[in-house]
Amino acid sequence: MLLETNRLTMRFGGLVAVRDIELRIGEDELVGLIGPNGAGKTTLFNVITGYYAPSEGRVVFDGQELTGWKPHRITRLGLCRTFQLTRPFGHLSLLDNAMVGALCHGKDMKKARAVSEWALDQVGLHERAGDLAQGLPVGLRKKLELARALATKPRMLLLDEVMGGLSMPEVQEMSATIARIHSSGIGVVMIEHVMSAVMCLCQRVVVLHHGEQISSGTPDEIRRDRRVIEAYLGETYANRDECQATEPEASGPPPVH
Amino acid sequence: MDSTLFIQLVISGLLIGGVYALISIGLTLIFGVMRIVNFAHGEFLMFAMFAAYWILEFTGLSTYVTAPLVALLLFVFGAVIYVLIIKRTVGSPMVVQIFATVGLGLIMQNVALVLWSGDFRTIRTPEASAVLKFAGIQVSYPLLIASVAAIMIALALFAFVAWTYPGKAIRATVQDRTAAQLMGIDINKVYLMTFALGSALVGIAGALLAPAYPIFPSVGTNFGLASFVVVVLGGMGSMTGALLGGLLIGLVETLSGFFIDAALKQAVYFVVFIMVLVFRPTGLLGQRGAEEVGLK
Amino acid sequence: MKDQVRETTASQAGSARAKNRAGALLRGNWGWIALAALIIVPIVVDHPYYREILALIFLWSAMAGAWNIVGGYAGKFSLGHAAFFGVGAYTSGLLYVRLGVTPWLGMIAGMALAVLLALFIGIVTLRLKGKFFALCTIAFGQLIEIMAIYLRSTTGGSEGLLIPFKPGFWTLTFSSKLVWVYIFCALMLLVYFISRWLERSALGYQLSALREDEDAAEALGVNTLRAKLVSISLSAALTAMGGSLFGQYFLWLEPGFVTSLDLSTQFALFAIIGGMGTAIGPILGATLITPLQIFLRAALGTAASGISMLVYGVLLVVVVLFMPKGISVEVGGWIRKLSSRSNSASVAREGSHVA
Repeated sequence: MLLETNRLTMRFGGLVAVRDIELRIGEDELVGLIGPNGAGKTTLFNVITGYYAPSEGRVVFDGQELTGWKPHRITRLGLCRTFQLTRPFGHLSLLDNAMVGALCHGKDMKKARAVSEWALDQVGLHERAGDLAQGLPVGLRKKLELARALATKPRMLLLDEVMGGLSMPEVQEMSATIARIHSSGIGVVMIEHVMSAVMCLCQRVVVLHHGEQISSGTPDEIRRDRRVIEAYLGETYANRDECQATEPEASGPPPVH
Repeated sequence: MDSTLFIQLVISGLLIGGVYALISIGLTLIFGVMRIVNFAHGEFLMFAMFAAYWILEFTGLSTYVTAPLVALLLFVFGAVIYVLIIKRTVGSPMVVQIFATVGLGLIMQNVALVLWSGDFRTIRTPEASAVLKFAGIQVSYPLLIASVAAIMIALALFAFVAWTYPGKAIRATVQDRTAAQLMGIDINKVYLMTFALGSALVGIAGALLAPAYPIFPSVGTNFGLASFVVVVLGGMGSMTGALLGGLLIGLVETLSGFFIDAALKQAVYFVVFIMVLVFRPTGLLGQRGAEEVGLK
Repeated sequence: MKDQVRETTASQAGSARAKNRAGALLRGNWGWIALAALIIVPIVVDHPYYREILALIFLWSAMAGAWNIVGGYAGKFSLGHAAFFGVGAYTSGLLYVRLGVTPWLGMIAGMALAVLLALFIGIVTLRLKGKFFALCTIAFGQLIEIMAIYLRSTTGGSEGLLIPFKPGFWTLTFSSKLVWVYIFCALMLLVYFISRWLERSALGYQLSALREDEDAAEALGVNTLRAKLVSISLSAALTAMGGSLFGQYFLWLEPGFVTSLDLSTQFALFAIIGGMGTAIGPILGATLITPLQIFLRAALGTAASGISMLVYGVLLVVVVLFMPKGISVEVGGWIRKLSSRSNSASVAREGSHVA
């Protein structure tokens, strides 16, 4: 188990945002995290990655207890998150955006540059490496967000609605990219509302509602789960197979560190 | 210690506090609506004081009589400055927001220096040095007027914001700019009016304070800094906060001047300032994220 | 298909690299030319009045450059940097005047104290952003000024501190203005090269990231607390160094100058007008503006102190509203546009966080 949470609870004053979350995610898993808005998904990511200190419970990553750690330490340990509303470093080039991530493991500029270029290449942004990050359309911003996280050489990625706002072709492209990243040995937990992506990509899905885990299982299982249907999915997905991802493409291994 | 002395200190502190409150109301109004910190706020006060002084010199009219005129002058001046400078800073990068008004303050202070020299001017009318006495307590007449004016202005502002159309437009803009625009409110006009109104308020403050303090180009610096402290303590955007903050700072200054050291009275409120910024940046009456909430 | 695209990019990169090498060589030559000028000009300009101008240009360039480390690179606009300048000046000045300690050591002590102060301020202002950070630094600056005035018996208060004129190496006092010109020039170069190093280092990237978006920087492994503290400490140490040297140059310290809000504003002003966030910007700003004040004072007498500050204010407002990146960057941009070949745009521009 690479990422584990035990009885993880987050309270803001009287409001319980997430309660008693028990996650067990292996390093080779691709897990979806779904639920209606306000279910606590992003809050959960914020707690796991150190932006909030949990009210109760603990987070363990690679055997290391993370409670109380600052986000940058958690990222250096190998757990990196992206943001739902993309946060590019607008006045920096795409390459430099990635460099920030790449430099978290060392000061060697040459190595960092190689990793950054590789990361941009993984998402197809290599040709635009010199462009400034501000003014990018949402599809490219999401790619940049992913590339930056990749540059930190994570062992597990927490993606927060990385498909949000993307058109269907973009969703398919992003799904293929994520599948490729996963197959190269990086664990992925993705918060998503785009069900086609979730059903396709994820081996397992965890469902959150009002801050609690109401279900967990394979995509097939959860879309037939009564509780999930009532809370979130509705009948649409109960009997439909939405999976339409393209085959993941093989592309070279990342530069050796 | 002598109870009369203590009461005297408290009264003096409250009166100075009233002055600070009066100066700060304009600053907090502008911040509450536009999220702009006018780093030249003290210089606006200084211009108002000089305006009152020069009008008195040329017409012999008491500054209390001419206060509305000074307010009008500052209203126009504020409107002009808004159009020339402030308008371009709203929503701009932080460096622009901060340094445009820092530069403006430099310009204003040095225009005053060049035009009127660094000499101290004082208003020597009977009312300027009038002191009311009762029960052994001395109350400076100009400061008393200023404090009363502060309360009246705050009340008038509340009424304005609550009941008049322009006032409602201001509140709407504060709560949701986009929705306000969809309702046909011209944000630019709202900002213009707010900045001009805030300047007019400083104008009144300047006219009322001119009898009580020496007037010179850098007189605005200390008052300006004090008004930042007041506004942060009271809560950015809160008019009640400006009143309350002003009174508190006045008390703190006077009492610490007596009990600690006269030379350190400013230091004490700067320490208070830093502590508020660090521990409760929303101030006493601001709400969490007061930057977002705006005027109350 | 992808390989073809990569090949084209590689060859573009190759030709761009060749161009860069040529550019670097030229830039390298400019560097030697500039260095030669810096050595020769002060000797040639054999007049104390002009040498004073040079000395002050170099000093203020260095101070603006030091401010720039926190203001331009980290994006935290301090209006209280005179606190560090004053701490440096008074520490070395007082150690020398009261205890006979050589100002060389006094300078180091001043730098150490300034770093401690900077760490304190950095931790206190950790969560403050933008205008609130600026306001807090104003408060700190004012506190230092008030203390300098209040501790009259030690510092001489408002009447100031007179530093005795005993020329010599160990007393860091020189009768020749030329020596001071070179000392301040060396300080300016020190700050310049530290800035250039910073730009290309990991810390530089981290500062740019936290300037743009602190939370996102944290998510990418940037220890924002450490980066902020390092940058503010470095900035404070260099500023204090300037303060100590200024004390030995001017031989007269008063709180109304060395710890004043006006001085803090000037450090920021030079850097912003010249170009924040670049190493050359602060130097350009100081070089353009410092002579202005001195010439105006000579031409107009006492009224001039108002006029020169007035001009500063106007310049600041104009630059900030119409050329917010500063003169060096805007002009550099025009020059680049006039002489550009557009293929260089698509090749990865590393170091874009430096304008």
